[in-house]
Amino acid sequence: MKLQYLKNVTTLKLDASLCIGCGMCVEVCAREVFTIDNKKAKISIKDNCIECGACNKNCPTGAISVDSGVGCAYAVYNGLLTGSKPSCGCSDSGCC
Amino acid sequence: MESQNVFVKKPRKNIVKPTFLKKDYWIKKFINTKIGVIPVIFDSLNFKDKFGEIKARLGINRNNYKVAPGIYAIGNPDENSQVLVTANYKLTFDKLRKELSEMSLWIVVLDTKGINVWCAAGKGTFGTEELIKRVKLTKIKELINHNTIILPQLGAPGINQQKVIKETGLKIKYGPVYAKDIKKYIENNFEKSNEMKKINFNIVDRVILTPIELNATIIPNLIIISVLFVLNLISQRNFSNKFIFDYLPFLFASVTGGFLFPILLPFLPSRSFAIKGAFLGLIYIIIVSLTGRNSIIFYLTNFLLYVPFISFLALNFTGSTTFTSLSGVKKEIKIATPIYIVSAIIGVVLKILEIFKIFKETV
Repeated sequence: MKLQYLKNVTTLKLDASLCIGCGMCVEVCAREVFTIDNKKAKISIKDNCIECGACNKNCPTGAISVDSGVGCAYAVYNGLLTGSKPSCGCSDSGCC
Repeated sequence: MESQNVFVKKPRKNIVKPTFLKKDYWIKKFINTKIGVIPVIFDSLNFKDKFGEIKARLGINRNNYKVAPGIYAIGNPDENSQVLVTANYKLTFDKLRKELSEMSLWIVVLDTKGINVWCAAGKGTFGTEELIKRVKLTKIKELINHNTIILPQLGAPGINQQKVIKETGLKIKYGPVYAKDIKKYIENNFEKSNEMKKINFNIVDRVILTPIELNATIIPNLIIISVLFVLNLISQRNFSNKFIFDYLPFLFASVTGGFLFPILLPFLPSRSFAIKGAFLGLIYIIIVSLTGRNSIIFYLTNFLLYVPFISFLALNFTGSTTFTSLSGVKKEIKIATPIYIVSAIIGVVLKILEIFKIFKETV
């Protein structure tokens, strides 16, 4: 069963003019968001994106931007309560 | 208490086991290399490893289930052998090594504070800085005559590849998501099939998480039963077991949210976890209502308390899944939280009034 989260929420953006078609984004994405089309990366299943940030961090030309973070309600509540960035309370454990 | 300093010891003629590096049960023996003494680990799990996994899955001592960061060897690696990088959560380390039988490799364990690769990458502990630091500390480059290290694909969110290349001169290859595919990946000359790239979240993956979800509800359960006990004492002026019946719906709601929700996840309607949870909560309320005849107030109270409660537990499961995003979770929280709060306040007030028998005449 294909599990997909909310539609049209991801902050993922691709600047095709910067793309050199190296395929790194395809390589690191665990959600099959990207494909290579005519030697350029293309966002083909946008709603699959979980904003993990792998593509953005590994793109050699900075063509991809995304506000990455963990999709974890506990972390977001934690951030709201402590007034800091969302972070799991599991900084010293094996959670998530 | 890191023991990587052992790895930079000067080479010795005879293999001497340093007294400060204890021989953990996953270590087979020690070998002497030009960069120091390196532990060779077993490629299979023993009873202690398996028992340790059960304990970690149940949440017992899970926060301190780690191995020392540094270099390990598996099989008989030499300067041509591949280098794998992993996290120092013992469960991660075990999952990796048990897939490496009949292989000879170097394994660099990063200090991820005992957290798995995926979560540690999200936090940045399986990250660029730690990788660069560990490469330098362990002197792994002196051990190999190539310049490639293999990272788990799920570590990619923590790694700035360009920076690692610049600082260490090492090239990164992102291996498969699952350790079970590593052998095939290396044999296939670092070719990844699409299947090897994908992250799953099947029924087994979800069931395994449920003890931790249930654990999280233990303290709220203890608080609720204590409060109900006290309220009951005040309202009855003597001991009665009525508080148990007031408490049971909370207990079953905890099990519904913490155990049934993860299992039923793909089958519940909507993409939103809050709505999925509310739907399950509604079914729960209907089932509770069918079990006995009670007042309208009783049903209304249960509805106001347990639909949002189960929805809340469901929303909190987002962090355990493999397909939710921060933007999505923020959106859900923004909409759902005010509803939870209002509903819970009205529910609690009604419940207290009910315990104090305010409605007795009206129903």
